[in-house]
Amino acid sequence: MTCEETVGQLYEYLDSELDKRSYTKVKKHLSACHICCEKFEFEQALKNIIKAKSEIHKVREHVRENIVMQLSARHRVQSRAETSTLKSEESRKRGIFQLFQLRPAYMAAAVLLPLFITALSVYLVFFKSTDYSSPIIEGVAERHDKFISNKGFLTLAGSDLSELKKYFKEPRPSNFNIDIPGKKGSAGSFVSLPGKQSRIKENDLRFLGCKNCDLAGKKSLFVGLEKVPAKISLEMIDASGINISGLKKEQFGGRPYYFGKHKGYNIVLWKQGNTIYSLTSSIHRKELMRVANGTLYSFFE
Amino acid sequence: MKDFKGSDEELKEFEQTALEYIDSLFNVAMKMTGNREEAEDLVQETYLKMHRFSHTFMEGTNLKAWLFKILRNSFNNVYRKKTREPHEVRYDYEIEDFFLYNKTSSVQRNNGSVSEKKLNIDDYLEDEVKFALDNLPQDFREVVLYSEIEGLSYEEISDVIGCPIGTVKSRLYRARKLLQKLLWNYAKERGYLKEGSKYL
Repeated sequence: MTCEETVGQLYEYLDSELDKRSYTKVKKHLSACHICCEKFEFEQALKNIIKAKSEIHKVREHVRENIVMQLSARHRVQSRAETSTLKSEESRKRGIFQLFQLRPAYMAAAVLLPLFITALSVYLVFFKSTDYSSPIIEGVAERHDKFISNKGFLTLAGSDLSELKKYFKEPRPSNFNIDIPGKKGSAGSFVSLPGKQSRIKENDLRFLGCKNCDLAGKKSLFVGLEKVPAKISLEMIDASGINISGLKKEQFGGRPYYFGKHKGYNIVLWKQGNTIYSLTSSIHRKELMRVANGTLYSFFE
Repeated sequence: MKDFKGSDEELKEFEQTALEYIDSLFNVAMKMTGNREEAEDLVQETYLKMHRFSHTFMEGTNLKAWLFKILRNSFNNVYRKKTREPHEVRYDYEIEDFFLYNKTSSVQRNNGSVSEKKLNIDDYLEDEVKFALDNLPQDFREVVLYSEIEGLSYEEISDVIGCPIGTVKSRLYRARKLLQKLLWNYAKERGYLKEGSKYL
């Protein structure tokens, strides 16, 4: 067996996925060839480190108990349903309870339905309405949807010519200052002359372009970004008169972020100075907060 | 078709066995969602779905893979990507094979100058491994989780993610390369390597 053949099967060997014959061949080569052996030992050590240094999370006890309870509750409901069907022919009438002997299903419904309605309304009033829906959340999500599906959506151009050519027939890169809503005085310059790098271009975050829009009755600035393979919409509005503290909140990197969901997109919002920023994408909320906290926060300082 | 009483006992036993995988499922759920509450929700949902669809499980087949499949589907339903990229995105075209090995072993060979700090992979902490894993694209991260952390076989993984074994192998191979690149980047960022180091 040659070094090339061995190296080609190294991962399968490492994962114990080789058939006996190939396994023996590789093992034999590794014992004879110290170059391949070193490589193998390194990969093995790395695999062990990934496993060892990977935090193992265990469920909290109440979660397991919950599950066991829910499963046995389902069992009880099932068996009760079956036994009551069996017994219904022999049910005894006991005065006032005569009524309830009629149809066990109706009785169950009569009890459960008001409970269900109460639970549903509590959920709708206290949880659903404030947390996930809000005109801003919906507005940015709808816009993101349009941005993703409409190639001609962006008006002001990005700085990467090859990127621009995907979106505009005649890209016109030029230098302009964008007014960030809520920020007094001169704002950030998103676009620079051809050849120069746009300021937002770190860690695979690419700037595609921007557009002036309207959000929740105010003027907003929309910026299209891309963090391969997903697109991210950044939208900014003046914070005066807007209250986002009713949304679900999570601390990240020592800063508060608010979030919501709409149309399958994740939305993360934060307030900086007198501007409210929002990021919308299909990528994970944590990832969005990372982008906000890492790249964008300092950009907008 | 067994009689009612008999299959009830079997069902309970089946669920008992399934519950033994709760920590594995939770571990993967945590690494996919990054959030304890969401991970717990996912796991609960998985077991409820398991109960609901227990009649579809074929006895003798891989229970662990089946549970992971349910977990994965639940996860994707919540975090589903709205659009598919029209072009294939290649994350690893620049990364050579044995990337990290080459980077670290070259110093050991060259008897590098005393002022250089060697990168020893044992130096990696939980933090860095977590960061590297978190920054993998989702489909790469999940194969690494299933294979390296949870020890599923290629065949089991192919069952869970619904792709042929060849895809599992190539995805795992590319994921590992990217992981090595990320670990390397992290070492650089964290200043493990002094300025002017041969590595940079």
